[in-house]
Amino acid sequence: MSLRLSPWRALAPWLISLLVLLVIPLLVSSNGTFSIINLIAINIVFALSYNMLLGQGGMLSFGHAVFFGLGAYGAIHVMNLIGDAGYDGQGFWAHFPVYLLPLVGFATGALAALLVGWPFCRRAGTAFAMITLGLGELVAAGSQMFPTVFGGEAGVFSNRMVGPVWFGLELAQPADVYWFSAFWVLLAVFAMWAFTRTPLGRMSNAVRDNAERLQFIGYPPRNLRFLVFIAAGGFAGLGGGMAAVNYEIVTPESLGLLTSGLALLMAAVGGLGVFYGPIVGAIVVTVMNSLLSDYTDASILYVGLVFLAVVMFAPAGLGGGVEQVRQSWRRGELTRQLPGWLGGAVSVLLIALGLVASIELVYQLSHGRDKLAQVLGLQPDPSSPLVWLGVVALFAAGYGVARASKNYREARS
Amino acid sequence: MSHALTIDDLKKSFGPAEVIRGVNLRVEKGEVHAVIGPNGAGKSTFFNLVSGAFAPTSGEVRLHGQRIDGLAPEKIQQRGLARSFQVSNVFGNLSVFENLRCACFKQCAAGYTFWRPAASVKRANRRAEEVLAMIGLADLRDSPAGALPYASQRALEIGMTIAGEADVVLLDEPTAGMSNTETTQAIELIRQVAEGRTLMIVEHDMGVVFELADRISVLVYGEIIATGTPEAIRNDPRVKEAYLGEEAA
Ligand SMILES: Nc1ncnc2c1ncn2[C@@H]1O[C@H](COP(=O)(O)OP(=O)(O)OP(=O)(O)O)[C@@H](O)[C@H]1O
Ligand SMILES: [Mg+2]
Repeated sequence: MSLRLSPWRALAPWLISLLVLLVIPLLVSSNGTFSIINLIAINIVFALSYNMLLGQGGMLSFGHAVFFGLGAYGAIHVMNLIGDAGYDGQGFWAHFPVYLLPLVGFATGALAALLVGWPFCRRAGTAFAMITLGLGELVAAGSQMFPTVFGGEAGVFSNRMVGPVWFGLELAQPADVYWFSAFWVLLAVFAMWAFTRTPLGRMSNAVRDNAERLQFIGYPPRNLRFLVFIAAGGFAGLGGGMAAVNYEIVTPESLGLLTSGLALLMAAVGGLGVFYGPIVGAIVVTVMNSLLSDYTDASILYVGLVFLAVVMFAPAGLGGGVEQVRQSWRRGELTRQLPGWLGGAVSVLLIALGLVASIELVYQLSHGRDKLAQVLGLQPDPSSPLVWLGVVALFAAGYGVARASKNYREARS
Repeated sequence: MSHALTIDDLKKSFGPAEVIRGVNLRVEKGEVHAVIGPNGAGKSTFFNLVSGAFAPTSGEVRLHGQRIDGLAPEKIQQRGLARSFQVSNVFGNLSVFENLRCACFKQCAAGYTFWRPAASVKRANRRAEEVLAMIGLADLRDSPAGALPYASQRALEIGMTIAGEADVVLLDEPTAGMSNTETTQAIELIRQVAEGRTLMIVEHDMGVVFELADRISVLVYGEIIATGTPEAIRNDPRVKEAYLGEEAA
């Protein structure tokens, strides 16, 4: 018979999220930390919107940033309209609070997807990937040709301290923006989760699994892909709108391939197959990006390595891993299976440490100094064979643990 | 217009290969019509033409008197013709129930709905539960369809085909690869499916065919060489030579 969740079980993740969002400002005081948290919120919305396409709808896009960026541009131009209208000004925009700009982002993103999406959605797979790649490049290049809209290299600036303020919700400090981000991230995540429960959400899974069969139950795959594409574009735009308010500047970079790649990276690291996967991915990748760049010049390399490690060793992503552990626990097999998994994790960690050490040492050889080593108070000598022996030992230990835990897993499966 | 399907001079070529070479057939409303023939005769291709998977090279297909040849599969489905596949063709990552419910959305005009939960589309849920019970997979309701045992997946394949309440149903080798017990269950299911519907079925198992069919057509090298009651087909010398004889040998 059906295993339906009790209402409390279904509500729990939302109550916990709400609680976490309410507690964060009690624990955090520095503007820097608030900035990172605000960025995490933006990236959660962006990564989840990307997963509506890839994880839910089976459409691999390399141009999703177009809708994020256009949403951001839409929002920042409206922010300027609000500013131009002035506090006591006349007209519609004079009464439009900056707080609602993510809605403008949503509308812009969805409209853009509606305008360009139909020809894209004929096929999924490689054709779709190629076309979206082309779109991304086209829009990024095209943005340089319309400096009045996209602001050229420098982008479009604005000021979020304009327009009517509702309920005293000012947007001066990053800490103020936190409440804005918390509100919108919760709303957007809930909306995207609710979407997965609707008939269209389910049909988007069906088109992912088997587009051919879909036709024989009465639906052309293209229509379904198109609707999902519009929805995903809208939510990406909503994230863009949040970014516009957060940064008060939007540059053409936000439309480009790197930003699109970030969405794919976050979603894949977190896991495409579980709803909360991209949330985990967005948190991990954003924190890594933000923190590592303070400590090492190779931060992008490390994010890339994490991506590689996940794709190779945990293709279901971090969220998929969590889900596996949960199911094992439910079946009462966790005590039996966990040691094997932990061993695997430890081996990956050891090998990663070895890699980090090698990269930093090589970096030190070529640049003469190393931030990470300095921060850690280490003075390793890259020309000393002993240091390199240590690195080799790390790799060897990682390999050993990997073998042992693999044997353990196989013996117990 | 008492024919559910009217097929006139239907032809299909893949490049130089002429696979369907002028099929004429009348399927009466409410009958169970079996299509038999040797491997590679074009049975699946014939179903593909009728259900819209391929457009015919020439010829006409009428469903309840209306032309459907060359229409897209979803258009044909909307007019009340559904089909199953020889190789199970389900939504692998969705649960059994979800597979069935997705197959029910069309008749509720709900597939594009994004403003309310799927659970609130009462009619689709009711129908999906009904079909779930009918195909005997209630125990596997929440299992991913891709992980089902073979026979269960075949049952789901049939379930998805009939979930949309089409009145003309084509089943392509529904019992292929099943054990004897599984086949007996499948026959029971197909009998229920045939209730109040027109059923066309491709089947290699002669036991199943003679048990279920009101009439049989024999397709050999893209042509129907005989159509008739099981009795007539059994005794038709051409059929014996072309097909049954071959089996006996
Ligand atoms: N899409 C296609 N392109 C080219 N040739 C095809 C195509 N589909 C089928 N054929 C050819 O048409 C012929 C008939 O195939 P079909 O699958 O219709 O036979 P069948 O009667 O269903 O056989 P079986 O009993 O094995 O299922 C075969 O020779 C096959 O190779
Ligand atoms: Mg066949």
